[in-house]
Amino acid sequence: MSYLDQFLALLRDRQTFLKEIQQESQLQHKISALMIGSFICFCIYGAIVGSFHSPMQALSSAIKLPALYLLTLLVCLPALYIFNALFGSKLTIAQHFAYLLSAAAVIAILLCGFAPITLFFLTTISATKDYSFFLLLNVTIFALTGLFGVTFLYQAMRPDTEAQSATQSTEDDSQKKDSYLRLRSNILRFWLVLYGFVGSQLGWTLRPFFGMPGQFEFFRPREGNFLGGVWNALMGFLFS
Amino acid sequence: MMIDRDGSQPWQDLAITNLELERCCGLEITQQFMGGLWVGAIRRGCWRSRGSILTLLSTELMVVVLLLMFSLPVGFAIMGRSDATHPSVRRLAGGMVGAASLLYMGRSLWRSRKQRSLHRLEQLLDDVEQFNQLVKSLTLVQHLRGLESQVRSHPEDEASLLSSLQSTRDHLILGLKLDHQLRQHHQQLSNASDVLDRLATQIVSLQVQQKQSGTHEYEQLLSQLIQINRSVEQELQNPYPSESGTSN
Repeated sequence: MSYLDQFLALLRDRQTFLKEIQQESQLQHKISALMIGSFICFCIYGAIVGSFHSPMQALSSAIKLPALYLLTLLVCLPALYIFNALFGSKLTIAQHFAYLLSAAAVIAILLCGFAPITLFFLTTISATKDYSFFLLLNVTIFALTGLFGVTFLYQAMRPDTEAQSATQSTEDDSQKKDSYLRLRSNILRFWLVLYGFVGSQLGWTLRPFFGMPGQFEFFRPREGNFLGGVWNALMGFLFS
Repeated sequence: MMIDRDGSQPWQDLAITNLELERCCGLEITQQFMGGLWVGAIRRGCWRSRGSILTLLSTELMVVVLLLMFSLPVGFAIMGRSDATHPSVRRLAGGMVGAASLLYMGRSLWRSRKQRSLHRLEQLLDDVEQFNQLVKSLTLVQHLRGLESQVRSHPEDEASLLSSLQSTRDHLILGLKLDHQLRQHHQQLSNASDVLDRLATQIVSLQVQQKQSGTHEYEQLLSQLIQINRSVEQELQNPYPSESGTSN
């Protein structure tokens, strides 16, 4: 099975794909396929977004957008794995990584799905006057796709899903396991918030992705944070 | 028409799948790699056709790009908190390229070390590929024969061929499992001699069948099966190649 086939298998038969991750079947191949596939999808969307400014910005965003998503995964992976392992998860770090990459792949595919809409607005709005509109449009798209990705990850990694496939335990252990399962569900929820937080800050560090009207910038000075930036863009859009 | 004798499995089910290979040899096996893209060894078959060379090169290019991307934090660390001026962007790029080069070199060293230790497995996988090819062509022949509505002229040949295929398959699986054990324990195991004995018997039995076969077609197929069995026997007789450099 080629990397493309493996990547598309996630779309075609998600349940089997996730079950195979659970069974550690062709895990490394899946990880490579998901990584390469999502990298390419993020590259495409990054290039579209960056072309709002200039070809140089398109190239820069094509590199930075996959870096944003995949680095966020890598940064947050150890925390999730260690906490889960500490509270009874039998999943290996490779399985955790595969699950996280599956969620990133879902986001990447959804972004590619939104690409024609972004392209449509890109060709119909003014690059100098409608910067804030384009920025907010894309923040909305990123938020929407991110929400879908995070929901997918939550469904796939919910501790009770793992517990269903695990072997049956004695009654003495069941109470302890139940409390661990609840704890792990909370850890997963907390981790998802953390993932969003790290992702938004890394996005802020790697900006610009769209490129303000004016000269091309590869990076902007490191100051402020993501929420402040969105607030400024919103104010700019409403009161300009 | 598939050969579907009473109680026997269709011929195409005899092919050894990637999942079975993974279970038997403890490594993920793909067309290009033994043990995965990142730390696995490249399969010799990759260099046989232009298409597979191109696939391998494009995969390696993707690896380089991904390594560069994952080296971004190193670049940021080297860049410090300075603004995106020309020299600081150069520092960032330098840091990324340096870190990615180090990672790629480390991976290449690991891979070449692994390549030596997987020499025997590589040979066995070639045998498996040959066997799968044989099963595939046999399935096709049987299918075409079914379309032509021909009467099977030598059912006894087919029955013996099916049993020979089954036992060759068993030997290949055994060989892969044995190689896995040998790699794990770095020594010859006592059950290696059992498998070798069985292989020798199988080869003799195939040679007898070859002499008695009714058609030239089956004689050729049996000859290919003998070759596969001989190759497995030869590989299992070879001593375990040490990771320090000796290879077969």
